[in-house]
Amino acid sequence: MKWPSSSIRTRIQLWHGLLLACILVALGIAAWRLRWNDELRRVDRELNEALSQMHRILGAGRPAAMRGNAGTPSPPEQFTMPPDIAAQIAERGCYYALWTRAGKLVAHSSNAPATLTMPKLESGGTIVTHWRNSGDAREGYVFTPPGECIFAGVSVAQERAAMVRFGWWLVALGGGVLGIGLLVDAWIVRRAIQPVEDIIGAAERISRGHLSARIDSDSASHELKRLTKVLNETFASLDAAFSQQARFSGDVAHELRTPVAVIVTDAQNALERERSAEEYRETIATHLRSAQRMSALIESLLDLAQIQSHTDAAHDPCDLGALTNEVAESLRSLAEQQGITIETSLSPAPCTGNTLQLVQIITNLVSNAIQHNRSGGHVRISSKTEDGRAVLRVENSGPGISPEHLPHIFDRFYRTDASRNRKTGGVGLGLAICKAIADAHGAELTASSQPGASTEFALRMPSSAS
Amino acid sequence: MRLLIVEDEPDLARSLARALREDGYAVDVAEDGDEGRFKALENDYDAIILDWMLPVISGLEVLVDLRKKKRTPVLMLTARRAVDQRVEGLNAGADDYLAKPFDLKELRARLRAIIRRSAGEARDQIEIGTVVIDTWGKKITLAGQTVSITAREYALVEYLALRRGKMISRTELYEHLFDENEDSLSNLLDVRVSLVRKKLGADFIVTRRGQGYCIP
Repeated sequence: MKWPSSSIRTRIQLWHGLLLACILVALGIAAWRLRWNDELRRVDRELNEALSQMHRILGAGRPAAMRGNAGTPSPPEQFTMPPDIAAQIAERGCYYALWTRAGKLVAHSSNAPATLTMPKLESGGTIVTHWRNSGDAREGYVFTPPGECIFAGVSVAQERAAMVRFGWWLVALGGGVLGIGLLVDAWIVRRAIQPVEDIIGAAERISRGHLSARIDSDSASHELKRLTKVLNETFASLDAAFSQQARFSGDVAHELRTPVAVIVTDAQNALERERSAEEYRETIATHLRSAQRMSALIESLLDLAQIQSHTDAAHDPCDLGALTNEVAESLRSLAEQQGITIETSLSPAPCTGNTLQLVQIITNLVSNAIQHNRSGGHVRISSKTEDGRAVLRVENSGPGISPEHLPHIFDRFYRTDASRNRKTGGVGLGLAICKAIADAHGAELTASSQPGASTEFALRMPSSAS
Repeated sequence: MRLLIVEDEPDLARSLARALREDGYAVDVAEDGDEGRFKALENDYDAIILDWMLPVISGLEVLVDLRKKKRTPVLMLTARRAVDQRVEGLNAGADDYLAKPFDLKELRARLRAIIRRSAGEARDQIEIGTVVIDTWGKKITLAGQTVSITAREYALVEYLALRRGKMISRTELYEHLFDENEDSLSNLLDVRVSLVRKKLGADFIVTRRGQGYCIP
């Protein structure tokens, strides 16, 4: 069904209007019927009066012997209405008629309609008054036990006209009540809908970019309070997600600015005058380093975006211990170059996960442990199963992380003073990627550190039973 | 003019130093905040180019510590563009502010501007008799004729011209015109002064034995 307007308010008002109209129509019909029945009863009483008078006169004119014997009717061939009774009947505006059993009209009033015919015999034996409507007239008749028909009627044209007026009056009254009802209803519905309008207003402000807009929950009714609360919470988390995204974009721009600054400054300076081949080589090498740094940043950003958008990457059963062993072996020569020994204690630790991503997290953790280390230091890697969960620990003898930095080290682009030095080469996303992978696996990634002595990262995979 | 560049990105520090040395500045480089603070307090630089994000201690902390003792003009460099940060830097005593990546020409102009302001000279041109020094173009004209002059010679003339009438000691000139890697015991300064006299006139720079040099 197609509504003229899809607004809830309009719909509610339409339904309310329809319901009110139905009730008013039903009430009007009932009132009209009641009044009409009242009128008919009054008319019928008068007709009954006339009929019983006629019946008494008919009985008085009959021989006494016959009065007691209903079985042998002897209809009067002649009947004269006493003038006083006729006058009484006429005074009431009624007319009368009397037929013999044979159907012969023996008496009738002068105002009786000319087309009057004898009604069909409906019940013999008992005396019952029958009623009928004939045009504008109400008529009643009785068959006496002998078979005569006593008939009386009255015109109800006046009553009908009055009923038509009454009907119009009812229509006018009903229309008025409907109109007032709709106005009152509009006011009530508007009040009831107001919180919804508030919600719409807030949602529109938010959709126009005012992310900090909230719905005023004080004015809302109880049911809507919950909705308001839920929506406000949703808006708040959207707001937080957007500002986090904006901050992240700002951080990315910031990270890209330094290599761009190197290229711009160096190129402008190199082009200022004729240079030796050696100087040009140096300039190109500088630009290459900057480009590689930007490339590394872009790769890391793509990794991060991919992990966060494809949380449904295939998860297969694998052994965290075996994966770690592969990574440790491949990084051993890099560690040795920097004078760092890798010590492993790897027990099988079965778990479920995406092999590529797990290798990446292990690689990041181990290379971090190698990079942020003192020369001649060590990196201890262990894997085992604890309480049904595969656990990987990477510990180094590095400078450690001070407690104020520890809660932030998984934030994107967060660098501690010691690690901010460009010489270490990182783009500041390694641990953020690790955290994203751990989250995608439902795993826990934690860091603990004793400043000046060691740092330990622990990866606890979820129980493989689940 | 002697400058200090405090910048942790080695490529950026190196190319900035090269460009500014070619302009005739003597340039020292510091790689982190701690080293930068030490050098800035130890030497009298004519200007410092200070990166905001530095290892060990931030550029802002360096600036705050420096301002407790010295008025050396400071040009802050940062990769951030937030107005709040710019205001914070300027409030902490930075003389100017430049966001990365910057144009080398703009950096030079701003650097010259803060050096000129600190010497109390707000004009682009300094006129001494028939000699006109164009601090913008780093050119010198004598009676309308452009004089061929090297960047290091120009630096000497500009330094003395900005402090016209004041006797400047040899030590101060060495501190401001030569970087930390150049030997202050050599006669490089005397050679440079005599070359300038040849080009601009014997009386342009006055020598007073045991006191130093002066443009009268």
